[in-house]
Amino acid sequence: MSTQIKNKRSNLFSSPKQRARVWSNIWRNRYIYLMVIPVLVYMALFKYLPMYFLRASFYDFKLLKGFEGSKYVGLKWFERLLSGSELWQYIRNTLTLNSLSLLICFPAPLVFALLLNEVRNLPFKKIVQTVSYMPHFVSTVVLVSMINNLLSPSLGTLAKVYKLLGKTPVNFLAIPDYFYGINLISGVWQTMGWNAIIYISAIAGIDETLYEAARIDGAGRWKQTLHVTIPGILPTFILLLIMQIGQMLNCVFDKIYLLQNTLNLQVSEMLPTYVYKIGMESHKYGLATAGGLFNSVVSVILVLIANVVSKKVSETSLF
Amino acid sequence: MKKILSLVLALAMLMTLTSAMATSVDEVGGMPANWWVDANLQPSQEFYVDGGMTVTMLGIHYNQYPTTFDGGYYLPSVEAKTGVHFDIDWRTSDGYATVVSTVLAGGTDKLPDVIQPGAYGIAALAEEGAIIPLDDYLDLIPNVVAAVGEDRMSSWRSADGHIYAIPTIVNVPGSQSMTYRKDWALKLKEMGVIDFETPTTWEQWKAFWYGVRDNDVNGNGDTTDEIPLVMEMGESGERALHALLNAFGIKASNDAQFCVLDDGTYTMVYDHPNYRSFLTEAQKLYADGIIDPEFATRKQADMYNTMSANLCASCFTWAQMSQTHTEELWSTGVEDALYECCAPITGPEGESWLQERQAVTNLNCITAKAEAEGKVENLMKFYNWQFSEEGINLYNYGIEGLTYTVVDGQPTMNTEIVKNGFTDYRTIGMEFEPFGGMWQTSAFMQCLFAGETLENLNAAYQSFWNGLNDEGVNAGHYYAMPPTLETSAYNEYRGELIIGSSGVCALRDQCVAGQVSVDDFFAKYEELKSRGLDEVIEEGNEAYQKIK
Amino acid sequence: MTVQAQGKNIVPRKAKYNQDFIKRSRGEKIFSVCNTIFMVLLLIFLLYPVLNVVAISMSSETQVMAANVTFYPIGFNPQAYRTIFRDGELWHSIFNSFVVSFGGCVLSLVALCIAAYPLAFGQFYGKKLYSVIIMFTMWFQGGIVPLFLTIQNLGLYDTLWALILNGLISAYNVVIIRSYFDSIPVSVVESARIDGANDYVILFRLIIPLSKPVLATVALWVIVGHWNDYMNPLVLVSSTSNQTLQLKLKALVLAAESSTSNLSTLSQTTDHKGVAALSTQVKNAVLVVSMVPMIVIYPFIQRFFVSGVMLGSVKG
Repeated sequence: MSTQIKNKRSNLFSSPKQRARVWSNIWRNRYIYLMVIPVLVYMALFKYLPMYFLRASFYDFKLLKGFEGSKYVGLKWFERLLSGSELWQYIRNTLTLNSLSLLICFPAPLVFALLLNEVRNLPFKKIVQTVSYMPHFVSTVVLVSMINNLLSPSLGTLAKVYKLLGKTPVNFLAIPDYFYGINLISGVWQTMGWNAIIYISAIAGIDETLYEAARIDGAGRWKQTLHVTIPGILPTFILLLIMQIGQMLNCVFDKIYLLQNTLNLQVSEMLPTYVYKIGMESHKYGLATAGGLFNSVVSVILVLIANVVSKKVSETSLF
Repeated sequence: MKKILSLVLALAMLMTLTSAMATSVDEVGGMPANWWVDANLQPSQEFYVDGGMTVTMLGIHYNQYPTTFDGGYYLPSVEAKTGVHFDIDWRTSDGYATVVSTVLAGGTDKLPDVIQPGAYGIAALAEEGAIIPLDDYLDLIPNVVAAVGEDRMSSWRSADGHIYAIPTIVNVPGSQSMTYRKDWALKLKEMGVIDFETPTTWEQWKAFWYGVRDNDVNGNGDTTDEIPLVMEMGESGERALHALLNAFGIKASNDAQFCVLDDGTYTMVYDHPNYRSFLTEAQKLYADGIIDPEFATRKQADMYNTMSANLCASCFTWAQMSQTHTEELWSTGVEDALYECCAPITGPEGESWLQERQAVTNLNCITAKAEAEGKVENLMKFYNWQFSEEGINLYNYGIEGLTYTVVDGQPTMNTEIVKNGFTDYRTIGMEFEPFGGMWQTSAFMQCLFAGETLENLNAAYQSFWNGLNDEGVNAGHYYAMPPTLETSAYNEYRGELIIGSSGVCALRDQCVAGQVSVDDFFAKYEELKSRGLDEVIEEGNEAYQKIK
Repeated sequence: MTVQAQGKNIVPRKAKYNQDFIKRSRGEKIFSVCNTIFMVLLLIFLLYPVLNVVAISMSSETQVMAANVTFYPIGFNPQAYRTIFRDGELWHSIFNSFVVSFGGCVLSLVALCIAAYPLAFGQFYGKKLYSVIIMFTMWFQGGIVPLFLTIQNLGLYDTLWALILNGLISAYNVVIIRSYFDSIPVSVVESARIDGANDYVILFRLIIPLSKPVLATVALWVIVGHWNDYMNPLVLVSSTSNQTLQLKLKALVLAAESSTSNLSTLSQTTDHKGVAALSTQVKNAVLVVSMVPMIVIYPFIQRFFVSGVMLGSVKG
């Protein structure tokens, strides 16, 4: 890889003098290249080799036979993906979940940070804050087990509450309408405290004199929050928001996969889980690779759009 | 302070870790460690590979056998008798298909000699060229051919008509049964809710279920916690509703996807004329709270939990579960509890069916690598030996003189080994099903009776016995399951159209749960057919007519 | 950028409003009470699921089955813990997770520093291309199946190395470390070069000791990431001896009983550590044990949380 670069570069400089300068630069940076080369080798093996295997999406890929022995099928898998209504349903499911998440999980840390800021008892504040980080360290498998613990209609706490209220317990996990709700609430549980750290820090970074000025103007606490605190952390919020939008097509594979069952599949199946099941469980490697490729491409497009927007917005409002 | 606390916690973990490591394995069934070494087994007269042969194998391990199985007697004894050394890579069934994928991706050289297809499927392996058809070698394995028997050939052959596997054969009566809480039925009868003790007709089953639903039969003060008909989904949803399907005369395959119609056509169950009434009725039962509200998510272990938690009124499960859970309830103070095995649910049309145990299961396949290395002939001869009397005795009863003696020409196991039923028997490594072989009724019965006679068995054991034996409650209800034929269309579309998120299984569950109406179900099923299920049905029927 | 700068010197603002405490209006007092109540409820919301798991793991069977157990154990019974302490496979999977998390963490940090150094301090031909090659992987990945095929072809499938190496250099972490390196004055490097030190020496002797905060933060991410990872082990590891804690947890707690299908006559015996034999308490005890290591390192790493999140939220 690096020799290629060198050759290409040195061809660009025609005069001997310039060529000598190039070589001296390379020699001077020999240790830098000794760092670059192993990194590039790693990248080639672990990040770019998988891209080579995207080729499988054009084959009826059979493992034992490899690319030579497998049948080339052209765009068959893409055609099949695009012809069914499922693909769009999976994308719609992902977008729905992420939009709802943007509405609920995303602002939750901000609200939490603002409210926490209003707590006056310092030890209590510290306890709340410390506890709020904890769910971030709980793994998805454990989280899903907890969800099962709480929601099981026969053994769960919620079922108990329902019975105390004289209602029949509901099997929440088997009703599609609840799927997003379960995801969102558990999402808030797991991420709120951790993600609030940035807002808490931003609030701490607001210039004290702004508050004093507001107080002199006769602002109460509510007014101070409205006119000083919120504007102070708004840039952070907007920056994070834009980046979040770039992730609209990404989903947390683990959680979605572990919460799925036949009764919620219409809303819970998303491209990554579909790809996993079709590929690793049903051995249709070609089809699965095609699905994965499609997901990656759309994701990249979304990220690029978000980046463009981010640049525009950043220039005008952030910096 | 916090740091000290966490250090203490870490230390405590380390200590328990070391103490856990130190725990030793107790001896089982009265047999000392490495008992088989003293047996000094001699090479078999029938088959012995001079100089020995090592066979590599990839297989699936079940959890009721000791995981450190190389410590069992069976494989060392096999080696002493035949000179064949098995070098087995055991995996769990969770994710096994991926393991097979990996082995395949390594190329032919990296294949083991013997491979169990597991969830990867024989057809898929054959299509890859990883395993070889055994049709040309049948004359080397007369014992196996005889053990399968003429009338069971169709479950030995694959969809393409070839034979690919050395089967494992379980020649014992059925293993599963419908079971219900007899004591609850009696209670309901006392209360005047029902007028029978054992539900036998569709109306009676419904009366029993609704009675359980409306009354506090477990006496805990809560009328709503009892579940009339508990269902489990099986590994991938294939078992959900199976018992109810049978009550409508739909004699489905093991995965509840295929059946044979009266005119002999092999098709998907959804094309069965009774499927509509089944769906309609199931939907109603679900809405009424009769069918387990968690049927689509309940795993087998969860079902057992409802049984031992005094919540399950009836379910379809392994007959032995009626015994273990009855005894478990006794131990927790529910003294009159009894899960009684009974005849399968009788449907509205009087149909009452139960799947016969799949006696012949295709288990071990010989790979292209074994063929390339010229090992096939000896392997075939080995399996033939395994199905000989000598091999069968070693598999079923252990070593003569140590674990069994022959009484009246019948191998009889020492009471020490069977006194805990199947537990010690299996822990020692007898009837080592993950490896495969032929299990005999006699060995099964000796374990079942645990050295007792039928009259001396307690009520729990008697229920188990009734659920299993040839003249028991299920007699006359058995049907032979049609195979699930892995045709190329099946392999092509299964992931998407059958078990996929918009596949027919999910549709079925959604329909029962009332999310999709019965009419919509059939409309969507027609659509799935046009997208490929038609091909699955057509190819399946073609293959079935060829091999039946 | 500005946010990041603030992140480095965060001093918890001490009761911004304490001075005007007396002047609070009635509405504010009501708000304050409501807010405190809300925070207490929030505390319950955050703690309950964890407490519930701990309580169930230590309660008696009958109480668990009757769904009576909520915040604290009822009918105290530590039997479940005795059961799992005997399960060698569980401990082995915990050991594997330790190896992957901590071994992977050390290797990752070294590799990340080597990858980031040329970007921050190198002026070499191809720097732009090098940067693009790394950055591109942040946006575009091959996906699950190609990853599996790659690891398989490299001969790493079903080894712990697959897990460690797959996550060794992530573009995102390179960016984070590089931007920290950028804040170190170039003159430090330049003068060391003049003294004749090569770049490896400069990196390990000078730069890394100066970068402890960012390295601690990234270490935290890598450890927690590996410890809690479920998808990669699911795709890349298969044998019992190589499974990580999360896989084992899934098998114990969430999987269907895996043995029966059509083969077995019996599905469970009481003594074997079969999935089916696991009671609800044992499942929950396993969950508790899996959480302990993270809770143990929690106090040690807590001071890096703030810098961690600040770095994480502001890319490049």
